[in-house]
Amino acid sequence: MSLLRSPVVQKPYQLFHYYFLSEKRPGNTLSDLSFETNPKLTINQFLHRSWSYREILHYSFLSSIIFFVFIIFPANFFLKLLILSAFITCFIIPLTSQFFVHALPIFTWLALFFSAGKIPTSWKPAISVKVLPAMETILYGDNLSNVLATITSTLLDIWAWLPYGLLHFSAPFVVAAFIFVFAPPTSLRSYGFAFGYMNLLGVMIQILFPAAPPWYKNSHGLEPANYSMSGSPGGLARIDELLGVDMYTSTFSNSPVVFGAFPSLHSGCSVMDVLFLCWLFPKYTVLWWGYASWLWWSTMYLTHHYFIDLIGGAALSFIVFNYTKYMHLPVINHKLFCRWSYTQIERIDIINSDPLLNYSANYNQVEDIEMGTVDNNHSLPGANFSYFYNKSVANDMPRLGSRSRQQSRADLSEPSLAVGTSRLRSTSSLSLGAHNEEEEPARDDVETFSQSSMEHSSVPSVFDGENYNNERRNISSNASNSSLDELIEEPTPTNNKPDTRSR
Amino acid sequence: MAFATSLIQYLPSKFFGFLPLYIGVELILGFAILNKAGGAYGIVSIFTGHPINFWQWLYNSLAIATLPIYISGLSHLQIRPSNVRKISISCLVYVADTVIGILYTLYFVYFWFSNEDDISETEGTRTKDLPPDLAAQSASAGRELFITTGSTIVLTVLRVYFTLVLVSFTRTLLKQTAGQRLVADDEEDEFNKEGKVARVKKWIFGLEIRSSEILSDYFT
Repeated sequence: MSLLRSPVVQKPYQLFHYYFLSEKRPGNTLSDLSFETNPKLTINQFLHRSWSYREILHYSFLSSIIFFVFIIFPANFFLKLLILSAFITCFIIPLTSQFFVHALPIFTWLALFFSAGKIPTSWKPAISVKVLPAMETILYGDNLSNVLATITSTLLDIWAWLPYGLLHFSAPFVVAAFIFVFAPPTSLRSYGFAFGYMNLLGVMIQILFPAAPPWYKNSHGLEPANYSMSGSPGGLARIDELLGVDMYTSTFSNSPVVFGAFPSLHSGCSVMDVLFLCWLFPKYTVLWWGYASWLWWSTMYLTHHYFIDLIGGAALSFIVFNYTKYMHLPVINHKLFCRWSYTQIERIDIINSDPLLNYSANYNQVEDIEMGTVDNNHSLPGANFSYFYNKSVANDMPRLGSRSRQQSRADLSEPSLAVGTSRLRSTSSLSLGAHNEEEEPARDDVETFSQSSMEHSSVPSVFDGENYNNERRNISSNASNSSLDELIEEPTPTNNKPDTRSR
Repeated sequence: MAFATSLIQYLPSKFFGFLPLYIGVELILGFAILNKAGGAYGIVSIFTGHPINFWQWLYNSLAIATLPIYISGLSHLQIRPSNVRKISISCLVYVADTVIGILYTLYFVYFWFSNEDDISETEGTRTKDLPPDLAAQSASAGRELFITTGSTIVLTVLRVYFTLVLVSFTRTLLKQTAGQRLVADDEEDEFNKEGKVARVKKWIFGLEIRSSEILSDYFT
């Protein structure tokens, strides 16, 4: 506790509290993390939960992949068992399980990717050398990688290396951090699900349909390939030469999936990042897609992928993102500033978001709902997603442009906060038992907000990413009942700082 | 008209038999946008010096031209009343794109097999140099040809199906909005402004309205 009281921790915490935690309403536990370390809580949740068929499919599929990796990985059995035990321990301690359970698709992908090289060669399908360049020409008229790699220069090498060799590896962490801070609670789970599954499915396709990348055609022509061949850094070898260090040559030469050109997971990851960023910050949509276009160019320039690989990865991301959007991802409210501003979680109602529902009836209904906020363009409330900057976003511009704590506070006090609830599949009715408001000290700097919102304050269980409709959610209420505030017993800095929030 | 009547009975009412059409349209336009981005990379050959012929140049140019239409269609899918106009023009362009695209696919199949596909000359000699187990790890010429041909056919069939989905969605949308105004008041104010941007907007608006009229006439 003395460490927690030290200035090194206190100062950042005070700033964090001032900018983010002060958004939180008293009694609202929706955004809280669990600091519990008692494994019994997770075990109880596990035992008393009624599992949906989608959850069973999800966990069975991922477990079978992990089992496959466990079997094929050539290491001492007891060492593997030890690693697996440590992994399982992280799943049953509530403090860690709240992240590990939802990152399971990501762990599974990483496990499969790094052990792909250990799959016996006799199990692997034959390597295609001609299919990708042929399909590239048939679908896009030419070999676009050749088009872009015709001229090379040091400046272009560096320009291509930045997104491909550096940003690609850091972007998912930055996006995850943005989602955790600025998106509604539970959004990060959706990101973990989408990012993990996209990569996992991508690696499975790469293993089942091994195909040679453009660098292979450049160095070997269309001659037959085999699994004894080493990978190649392609154009990144020039970066190693330029920097005088072996950053990529050894890594790519020993790549576990040498003939994994299709689909491009560089493209898949960047498009997944972009789709989530467009969802989170639609104002900068052009910038986000600019990043994806830049990375696409660099993968072709560095002769790592054909354009069809990029489209394969992007299409995979687009499908997985859309599935996640409709099945898991909460609806974002661009009036609210950060995760601590949310008092309820809502998700898209697929049926009522259909533009083909009785047009006239809906038109009037939407008009009623959005009276005063939208003038002449009517977007369905459930459709608060945008891949591109559009008119609906333009209408939101005053809100998006001033996505701020002040705006968030002002909007929260409006009774009309629950925009379009008739069209949103609210999960709030499944909340984990009412929170006892009397336990929370009254704060005079926070305006009163509706009791109905208070009733929605809840934290879903770590297993709830898959099935919000499970009615036995009270089992998870104990898992998330402590917050950072309770751990740090110092007075909050809101009393010391000038409070600029709207009242 | 007889064709329109017989076409209607083949229009799907659900995407892949179980998803609402609008989710299908969202995916279809998204895939189209991703694919059409290829035109922008292909046209760079002008600067890199990579040789392309007139038909390849035209193909890339058409891809670039369709991009803003599809982007506009997807981004307005849920926005009323402009979605009727935007989806109409997207639908019309997508139909034309499918027809032209299939013709181009035939041309590029010919282009690939006449210019690039030289494995038949080299494979025989090169596989002989390899031990049999290593040679077996590479796909045979027949397998490569099968995958290439199969993928081309599947993607073309999928493309035609996507066109039917988009047509079906547009038809229902037009049916529901028959007789309604397809322009919002603030949009109208934009068109009435002076300047080049307003003139371009008005011209695009004219094209969108014309598209919805063509399709409405066709379906009635």
